[in-house]
This record gives sequence, C-alpha cells and structure tokens, in this order.
Amino acid sequence: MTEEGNGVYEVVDGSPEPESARPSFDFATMGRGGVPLVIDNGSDRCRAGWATEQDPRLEFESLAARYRNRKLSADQILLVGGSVHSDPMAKASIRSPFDSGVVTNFDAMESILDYVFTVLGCVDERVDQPIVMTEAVCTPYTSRRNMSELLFECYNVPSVVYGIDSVWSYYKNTGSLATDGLIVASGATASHVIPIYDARAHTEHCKRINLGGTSMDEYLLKLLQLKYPAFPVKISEWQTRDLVHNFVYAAEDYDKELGCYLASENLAHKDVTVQFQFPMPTLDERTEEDIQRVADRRREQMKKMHEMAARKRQEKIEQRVQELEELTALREGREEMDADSFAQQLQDLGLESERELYDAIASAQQVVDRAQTKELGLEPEEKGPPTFPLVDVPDDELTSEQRQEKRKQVLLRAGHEARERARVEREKEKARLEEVARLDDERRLNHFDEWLADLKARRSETLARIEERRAHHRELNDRRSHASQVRMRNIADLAAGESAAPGGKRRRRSTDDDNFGAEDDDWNIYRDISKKEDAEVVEEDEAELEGYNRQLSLHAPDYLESLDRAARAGIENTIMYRFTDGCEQAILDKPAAQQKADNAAIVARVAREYQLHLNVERIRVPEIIFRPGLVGLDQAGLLETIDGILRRTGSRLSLVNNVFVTGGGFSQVPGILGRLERDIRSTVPAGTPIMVRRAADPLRDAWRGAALWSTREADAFRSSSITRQDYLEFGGEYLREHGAGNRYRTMPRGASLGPQ
Amino acid sequence: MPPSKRGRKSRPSSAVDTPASQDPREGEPLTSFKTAGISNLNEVAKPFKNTEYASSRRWRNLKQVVAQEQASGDWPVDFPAYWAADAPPSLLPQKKYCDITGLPAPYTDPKTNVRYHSAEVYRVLRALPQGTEQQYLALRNASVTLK
Repeated sequence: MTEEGNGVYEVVDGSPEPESARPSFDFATMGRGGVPLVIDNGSDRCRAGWATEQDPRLEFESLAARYRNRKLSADQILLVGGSVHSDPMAKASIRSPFDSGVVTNFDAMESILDYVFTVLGCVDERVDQPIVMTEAVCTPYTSRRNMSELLFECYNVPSVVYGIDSVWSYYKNTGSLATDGLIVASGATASHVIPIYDARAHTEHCKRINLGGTSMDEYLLKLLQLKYPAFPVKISEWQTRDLVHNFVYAAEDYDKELGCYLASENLAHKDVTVQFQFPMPTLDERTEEDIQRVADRRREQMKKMHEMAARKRQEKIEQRVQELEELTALREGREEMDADSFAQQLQDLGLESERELYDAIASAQQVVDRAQTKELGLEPEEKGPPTFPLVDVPDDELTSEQRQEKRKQVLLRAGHEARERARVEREKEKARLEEVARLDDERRLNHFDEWLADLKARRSETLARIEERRAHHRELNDRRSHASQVRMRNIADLAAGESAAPGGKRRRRSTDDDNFGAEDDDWNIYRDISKKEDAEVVEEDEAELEGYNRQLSLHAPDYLESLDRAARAGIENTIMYRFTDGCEQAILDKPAAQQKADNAAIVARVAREYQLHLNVERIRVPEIIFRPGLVGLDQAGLLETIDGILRRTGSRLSLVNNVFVTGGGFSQVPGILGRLERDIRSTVPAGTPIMVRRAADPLRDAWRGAALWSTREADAFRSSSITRQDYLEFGGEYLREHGAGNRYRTMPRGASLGPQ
Repeated sequence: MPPSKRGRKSRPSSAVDTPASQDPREGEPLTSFKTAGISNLNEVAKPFKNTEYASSRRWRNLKQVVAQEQASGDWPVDFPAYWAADAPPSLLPQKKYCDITGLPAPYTDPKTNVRYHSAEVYRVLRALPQGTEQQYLALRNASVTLK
C-alpha cells in the first residue's frame, strides 16, 4: 500500500459517468408477496431493492436537482442521482437531503423516494410495501417525524422499520447480533463507534466524531491549494476524491513515520507525482536537415540580393557618368555658343550660373571616382594629412578673404587633431586589451591551475556583487529593514541640508557651506537613495559574468556543471523543496552551464508545472480521525473515543476482540485496521485478544444486512414495524425498538418539536 | 454529456429524445423520460403519490433542528439523543504539527501563531504573502476572524 513508487499518476478528468440504474418492472409481482422494500438511505449514496434479493436494484448518489433550463423544457426539470451532473445548468441547484448525515431537506428526500419508486416500477395508487429504511444513529425526532410523515402521508406505505445501517452491516457479517463487538462506522460526514452486546446496539453509549470521507477530501484540497498557490489549473472535487481514494493511508505509527517521511530514502518510494492535463507547448519540430536547408536557401537569397544591389549600383554609376559627360560637354561647348543659349542650357540643367556648373562638374567627378574605386575594390587613396597653410600666417599679412579662410582652417585643424588623438587612444586601448588577452592566454597555457583559480575567484566576486545588490534591493522593499532606514536617513539629511527654513535660518547648525559636491563621491548619495538599480552597473556585471562563464565553459567545462550540481543539490536537500517537488531535479534560475533545450525537455518542463506531489499529505489527511485537532475540531480522536466507550460499558474487553469496521470514509483507508489494532493494544491490558476486521463489502453490506435481517428475523421485523395505526396514534417520531435500531422514549413532558 | 442509460431496457433505440408523456400504465411502466439526454423525473407520472399531500414543513439545517429539539424539554440524561452522542473534547495533550509541512513542530511563531518545523520552514513562513498565514491557521480552525 505504500509502494506506489515513483510512477507519475495521471489524475482523472471530469466527473464520472452517472451509473445506470437497472430498472425493475416487477413491482407488482414482488409487491404482492409483501416483500419488504429495503432502502439504505446513506448520506453519500442511496441503495434500494427487494429484501429477498442478493443485491440492491438501485444504487445512486443521494442528490437531487430541481431547476429550469429553457433550452430543454418549459417546465421545471428534476434530476436525481448521478444524472444531476449531466447538465451543467443544474449545478447550482444540486441538493442533498442530508446535513451531517441526518436528513433535513425533505424536498430533496421526496425527489429521491420518487425516483426509487419510479425506477422500481411502482404503478399503483400507493406504495403498498412494507419499507425497511436506514437512519442515522441517534436521529433527531424531528427528522424521523418528517420521514414518517412523508412515507405514510405522501406514499401511503403500510409500515416502516427504521434501523442503523452499520449495525445491519454488522449483522450481515457476523450472522447475528448475539456476538459482542464494537462497530467503527464511517460515512461521508461523520464517523460512529457503536458497542454491541446483549444482542443489541447500545446507542446510549455510542459516540460520534464529526469527520467523514468528505472531511478528508476538503482537507486535502485545502492543503494542496496552500502547497501550490500558483497551480495553473483548478483541482476539482472529483480529482481530490480520486487522490484521497488512491493515495492516502493510515500510518501505523504516525509520529515515527512522519519524522522521516521526507528523508531521501523514504521519499523515493513514498512520494507520489500527480500529473494534471497540460497544454502541449509549441515545439520546434525541424530536423538538422531542415535547418540546414533553410539556411542554404537564405544564403542563396542573400547572394541574389547582393547581385541585384551591385547591378543597381552599376546603373547608378553609369547614370552619373552620363550626367558628367553632359556637364563636361556643356563646358566644352561654352566657347562655341552665345551667352543666351548657354544660359538657357544651364537653366535646363537646373543650374543658375557658370560657377555652379563648375561645382557640379567637380562633385559629379568626385562621386564617379569614388564609386569606381569602390567598385574595383580599391582602398580610397590616402590623401595624406590635410594641410592648413594659412593657420601660421599672421593676420596682417592676409587679405580679409584669406583671414576668413584662416579662421575656417583653424577650426578644421582642431577637429582633425582631436580625431587623431582619439584614434591613437583607441589603438592604444586595443593594443592593451590584446596584450592583456595575450598575457592571460600565456598564463593559462603555462600556469593553468593558477589561472583557473584566479578566474574562479573573479567570477565568484562578480557573482557576490550581483547577489549583494539584489539583496540590498530586496531589503529596500521592506520598510523596516536596515537598508531602508539608512536610505530614509540620507534623504532626511539631504532635505535638511538644502532647504532653508523661512527667515533665512538654516536648519543645520553650521551656517557656512558644507562643501557638498566638492568631491565627486558626494554625488553618489543620490545614487544610493535611488530605489532603482543602476542599470549600467548591472549590465556591466552581467557581461563580466557572461565572459567568465564563456572562458570557463571553454577551458574547464566540468567546473560549471559541478557548480550547477552543487546548487541543485543545495535546493533539493531542503525540506521545503522535497515537500513540494519530491525527488524531481531542481530547476535553476540561472544555470552556470548552458544547456541545450531539446523538445523532450521543453515538454517535461511544462508537464512539471502541472504536477502535484503528495507525500506528507498521504498520512496527514487520514490522521484527522485519530487527531481531530489537526482540523481544529474539538473532539476526542477515534482511539480516545473507543477507550471512553470501553470504560463506560464496564470494560467489556470482549468488544475489542471483534472490532468491526464498515461504511465509507475512513473505513476505506488502507492501513486503518492495523492502526486501530495497534492503538487499541496500547490501551487495553496486555494479552487481551484483539481482532479488527473490515466488512466484506463495507459499502453494500448495510443494505444486504437490512434485507437479510428483515427476511430472517421475521419476528423482530413484525414487532418493530411501525404501522400506519402507530403513526396516527403516537406521532411521526414514534419508533418500535429492535436490536439494530435506535432507542425510543416518549417525548419528555413539555417537549414539543414546534411547528413542522 | 453522457446519455443516461436509464430506461434503455424498455425501449432499446427509440427511447432517446422522446419526451415521455405516456401513461406509464400502458405497456411498459417505465418509458424513457429523457429530453436531450437529460432524465427529467418530472415528466413521469407518479401515480403512487398522494396528490393531496402538501407538507407545511420548513427546511432547517441540522444545527437549528438539534438546538430546538434540545431546548424543547427536559430530556433524560441517559437518553441517546443526537447531541449526547457527540464525542467529547479530547482530554489528552495535543501534539503540535507544522502548519505548513505537517511535520512535528517544536516552534511557534509568536507574531502569527503559526507552528513550524525548522528554521528553514520559518524562512518560508516569513516570505509568505500577507494573509496566507491566516489560511494556514484556518486549516486547524485557529485563524483570527475580524468581525
């Protein structure tokens, strides 16, 4: 039961199909013999059938929905049983007749009984059958009164016998009520412990713990919601129920098992991975070949583009040459034509004067020359350093025009010199970097260990810096942290130092200037009080780290991986990680070693986001019946309750030799028998024989027991049948006692159940 | 929407989508009462019911029912009434378990009252978004509710 192993469990999706009822059409024939109609009215499921048969004809969820859906029908629709889930419109109207195991909603109860009699095929004017029906232990009189009223007045039944489901289940499994025993019965919302001796159920000593199967479901759901607050899908009640059904078990020794649950040797086989359905991520399905082909095609296209561009360039040059030729022809032909036609031609070319023509020819010539040299792949010829002949000539030796020219040259020379300086500077820097890289390489080749150690040290230094900045940033977000307080003090100081109070009185004591800003570092204060991270510095450090990582991955690839491994191990060894992620490999935010993500990894990554891990919950959830305090219920646990009952029944140790577990809820939990036996052994005197067993069929034996009892114990059946006469005479709450039923006293004097 | 199989025995294939207003007494007693795959019990005649029966009962939850019944008279001490069957509060010392992980919890955070297993869990507890600790406390019904 604890060996599910590491397999991934795929959780169910959606609600189960409503079970089909086997309709019966022999109501009349069955009924004529006066065969009792047995209804096990359980709070989770209702079972109904004929007492002479082995199994109930009908078994369905005790739910009814009365609602309207205009698309389907103009009138009200009534659904009963599992089919309430078949129409989403009905969801808000689903009602159970039960509140904590006791029938309180008799409208829903009426619908359910309608369904039972309809499907069993009753077509008479009345339900002319003796009814055998289960009711809750210690049912409140009000509930029974309403039930009897419904049965006798609405359906006109001739008689009814009420009994306790778990006691009938005991009867079925023990053969009689003569054997002493202790019933531990669990339902959807409550669990009971009922002692059996003197051939009857002693409900006066019975105790109820208000926890059942749904308590486990609810508890697990809450735990999971808190454990995975960012889980991408809603966990439905069906899924929770399914998980409880499949994976919880009772720990034999809770504290011992709990203490080492998350230890690695246990976790491997106790942790359960639950996979929810997840959307498939879009994947890059191309093969190497495809990628190659695409790259080839792109290269081809680039080549074509280049060719086209070259052709275009060629065309342009030709055009330019033609233009040049035109202009030159004009210049040449200047001599032969008169001034008017020349001016006309100039205008045609968009030029205004002869001077502009020369300028145009010069610039066109330049363009053509440059283009041609480029086309031929030649370097533009070095023009040599530009000369500034006028700069050094004194002003008074120059004409005014030359002086203007000189001023221009001075500016040009300054620009030229600045550029030169920058270029030299750049070259020096490049040379220095090359030198550094060369030395680094040399050192790497000659003293590899030293080099590597140094690199690692520098890397961790940078990393520490980044980390420190992050921590500082985080701290700033907390108003009460030290960093925040320092910042606030700085702001206050700055404000106090700079703002003068009215009246010219400075707040600071010193009236003279505090020399703020005299040193460059003073200005750092503004950077310090800024809450934003300095993007430049961050980028610089990131780039540095990147560089170190590149070097390391080139020359010492194992190192980065070992770093990752260590980081992962650090995460995986924490209790919280094991608790939420089981034995999965940790995913690092920023792995040092680059990993290539293949498709399988991408899918696995997405799948993991839709995974839950059940570990401690597997024993924590069913433990609530032994420690109701876990869910804040102020009641004694199962063992303490059993112990109390043993004491009050005069320490009948014969009871513990026949502990009978039946019903749903906790009775279904694996390991509950062993746990009960171990716990009981710890409270009774040593050597007391103890036997704990489960009903052959914990869910259906109540019905079978009731059927068996009503046919086999004919006398008891007859004497405990409440007839219509009784109902009219003694009231709806009236009960005829029998061994498997509740006790009855007439209502105490003055008691009234109020208006119904 | 899975079609209910109810009534299929009586009318194998034609049963689907026939709003049944037939008198169930004629022929088979249970014709399908389905509309578009939904089994509407209201469309079946229920001759066994007393048409004059109309209950005046009001729906009350169990707590109200029990409280009223308990207050309505002097019930004998030894009578097995619903309220008497409730298991009494535990007299045993309660072990404390970590609210977050469920592991044994030797510590309690004085600020939030959350029980925790170790320093590591405490760090997680500190980092919880505001209000979440109340949800953890609500698990064992110990949350502070503001009225």
